[in-house]
Amino acid sequence: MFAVEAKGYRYTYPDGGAPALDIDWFGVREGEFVLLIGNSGTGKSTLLRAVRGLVPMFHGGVASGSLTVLGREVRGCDPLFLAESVGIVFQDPEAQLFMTTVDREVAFGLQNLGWSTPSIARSVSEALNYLGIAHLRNARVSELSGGEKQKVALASVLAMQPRIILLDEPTSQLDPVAAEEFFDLVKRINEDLGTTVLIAEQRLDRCFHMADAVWLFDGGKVTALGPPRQAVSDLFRRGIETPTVARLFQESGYGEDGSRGLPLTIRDGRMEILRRWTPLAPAGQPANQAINHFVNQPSGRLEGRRRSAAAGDEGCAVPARRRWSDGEPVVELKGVSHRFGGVGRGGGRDGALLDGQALSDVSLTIRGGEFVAVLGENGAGKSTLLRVIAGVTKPSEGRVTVRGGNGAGGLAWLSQNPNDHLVHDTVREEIAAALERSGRDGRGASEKGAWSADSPVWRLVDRLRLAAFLDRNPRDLSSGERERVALGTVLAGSPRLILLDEPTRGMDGDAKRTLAAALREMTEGGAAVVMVTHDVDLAAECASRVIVMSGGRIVADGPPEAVLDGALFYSPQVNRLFRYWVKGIVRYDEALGLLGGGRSRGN
Amino acid sequence: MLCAGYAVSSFAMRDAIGILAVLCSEAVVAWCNWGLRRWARNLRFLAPVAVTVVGINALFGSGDPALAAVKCGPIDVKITIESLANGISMALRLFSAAGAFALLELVANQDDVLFAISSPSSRFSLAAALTLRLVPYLRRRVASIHDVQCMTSVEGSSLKARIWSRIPVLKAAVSESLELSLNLAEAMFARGWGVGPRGRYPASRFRLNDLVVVVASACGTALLLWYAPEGGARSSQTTLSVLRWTAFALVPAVACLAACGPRRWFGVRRGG
Repeated sequence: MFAVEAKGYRYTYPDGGAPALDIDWFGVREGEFVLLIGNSGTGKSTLLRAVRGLVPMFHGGVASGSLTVLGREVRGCDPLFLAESVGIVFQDPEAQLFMTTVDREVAFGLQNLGWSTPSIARSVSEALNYLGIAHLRNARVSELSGGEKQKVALASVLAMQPRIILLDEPTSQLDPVAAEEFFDLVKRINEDLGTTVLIAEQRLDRCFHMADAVWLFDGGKVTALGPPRQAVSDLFRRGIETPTVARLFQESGYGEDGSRGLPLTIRDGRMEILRRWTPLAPAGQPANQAINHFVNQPSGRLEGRRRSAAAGDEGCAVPARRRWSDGEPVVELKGVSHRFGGVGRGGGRDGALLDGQALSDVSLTIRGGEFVAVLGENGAGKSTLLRVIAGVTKPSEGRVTVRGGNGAGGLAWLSQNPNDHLVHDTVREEIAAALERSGRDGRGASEKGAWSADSPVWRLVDRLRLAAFLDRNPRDLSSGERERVALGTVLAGSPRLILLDEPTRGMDGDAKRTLAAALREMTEGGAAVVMVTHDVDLAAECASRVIVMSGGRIVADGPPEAVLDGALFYSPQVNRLFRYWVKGIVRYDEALGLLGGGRSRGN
Repeated sequence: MLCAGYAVSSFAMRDAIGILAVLCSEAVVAWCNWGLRRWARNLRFLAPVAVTVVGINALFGSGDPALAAVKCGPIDVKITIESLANGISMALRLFSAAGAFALLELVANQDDVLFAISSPSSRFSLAAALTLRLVPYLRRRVASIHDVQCMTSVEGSSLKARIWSRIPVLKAAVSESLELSLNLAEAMFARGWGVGPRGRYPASRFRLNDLVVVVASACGTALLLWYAPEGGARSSQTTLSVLRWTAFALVPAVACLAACGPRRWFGVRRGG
């Protein structure tokens, strides 16, 4: 029996336009863990909403065809049945929690279902214990970290004991640790309780291998890709983002004969490396030593390639190590501490933030041309650091020196919420206003055709892929698209210091690469970039320097090879793949070169 | 009940001393609920209005005896003790009435209020619930967008430029707050809001202390309402009536102290 089945289902939002969903057939068996992938705005979230009955019942619009949940047609279905059978967790925890305390939040759905008080109390306790957040039972929701909030959202759905759980990019705002914890919990629910799980996700590395089936969304249409091992080859053929490990092996020429499936996890990848390299080792040597000898000796593959790269061999797949910038300092922080007025503010319950200490004795110098990635758990003080540099928050102690003012050639800050930057009616007006603010001539820029194709602004628009929706209201765009527009408003003034607070939230892989290229171009022009991110792989690819924060302090600061190499959680996938064998592998191209791939990704 | 009583008392009282007693009584209740500072902070924004009220009453009121007389063109302005007292009592009434509502925020759990208003119709209650959440979110959004606008030098130097720059900020903040409200409504709908009869959680925590406060508040308010018009008509200036009113205004506060004071003194917070 299919838990969810759609036949000839079409749905159009009330504002008209092309159908958001145009599905010939889609089916999910009971107990399956199904992954929905595809770029932003391709219909993943709409399908989840349709399964829960939110479209068209809540949002309006026109639906045709058949969509059944547990054998019942969703349209015209008893709302109580749907509420009991299907639970949904949305992307933004802020937009789905509305009670003041955790236990009341978890109990909310059960109250709506009319459960008795003892049953509610029991189910609340069980859900909190199952997800390991019983200690938060009486905590105020507003004081929780992002990861905790998302767990509470999951607990509030789990407590209702639905047969189907829908998850709409639930980890997009979580740090790597919290995201991994969250996926593990979801898988546990799927396996322990037999709950059907449909998850729409952009971060494939952590959940792709968990799925029983993968469906690809494109322009409202869905394509069945089958189980992950089968799906990954298909995705690669279509030129669509795949998990890093699988892409690495595919690009290195592995499995081209189709005899074996691609490795999807770090464990599978490591086993494959051992299988492949052990025969190459001198007789009698254990596999680990063989690999070490093979790649780390002066004559070894990696060192040889690095030397070639340093010598300017363009055909070399391994890039030379990035150097520390020797540009002029653009920001200097000396002994900066900041304490929030109230306990628990700043979004975290962990460590120092419990007593309101957001930054603690931070000293830092950032130079022109540097690309600094700031990593750390939710509530570590990363955003506060940016706010202090931007001058939005005055530190309680210490001194901040920023060279150059705001606007053109000065400082630009992209806040965590892209909507903060979007106050005009069209994307074109936003960019024009940003130009005007920065002192560059923005007059008349809001007119159609006012930007010449060779102007720097148009290049920026083109690079950030904004051209397609220049005349649309930014608030009508998807979260990833909004993020790009906000970024456009920030970069339009060609600032010398760019502060970005989680700019890749909700972005698909292509958009991330586009962003990385745009930022790298700016650093090559002498600008300094400070980017707070949870995306360790992106940090490894782009940054020339990585800072890790915890509890308001800088706990690590250095080049990516030094900081990310061997880190337990803040390490990129490729580093984990070669951990214990090869030191300093943090970038995709380095790993690809090591595996013997001749084809560079060219980014 | 307590807050309604205070709100009614604020308007029923006529003497400044009586209204001051109500205000003090509210302060006691706020203190008992661990929120005296927050309650006072919420009232702070009324200060300019109160000063204006006192000023207008003092300048344009009538009565005796005169403290000062000024001739402003064709108008004779006479400041009298009575007009000054009237102005002060009106300002106090303003604080007292607003204080009663500020108290409601302290003593009532928002979640309970949400469920209390959600019985009549799910659509109405959904709208009401969202309104409860909209205002604080709107405040946060305005502050957040304002930070960005300050950063990007949108805040012009002239007053006109500043006012002009605030319009899109407000527009964006309102539209985003409404969008969030819609998302919240969707989340509530997704979790079965309004699908049928509702269960209760947590189990009722109505204790004897709460009963004492409610009964005392009800008695105090009833007595006050019964006495105020009669006493006011007979002699609003007599010390006796002022003392009576003051005593009645303090009944709920005393009850609240008796019921909640020990917990407050021994540092025990209300659960939940």
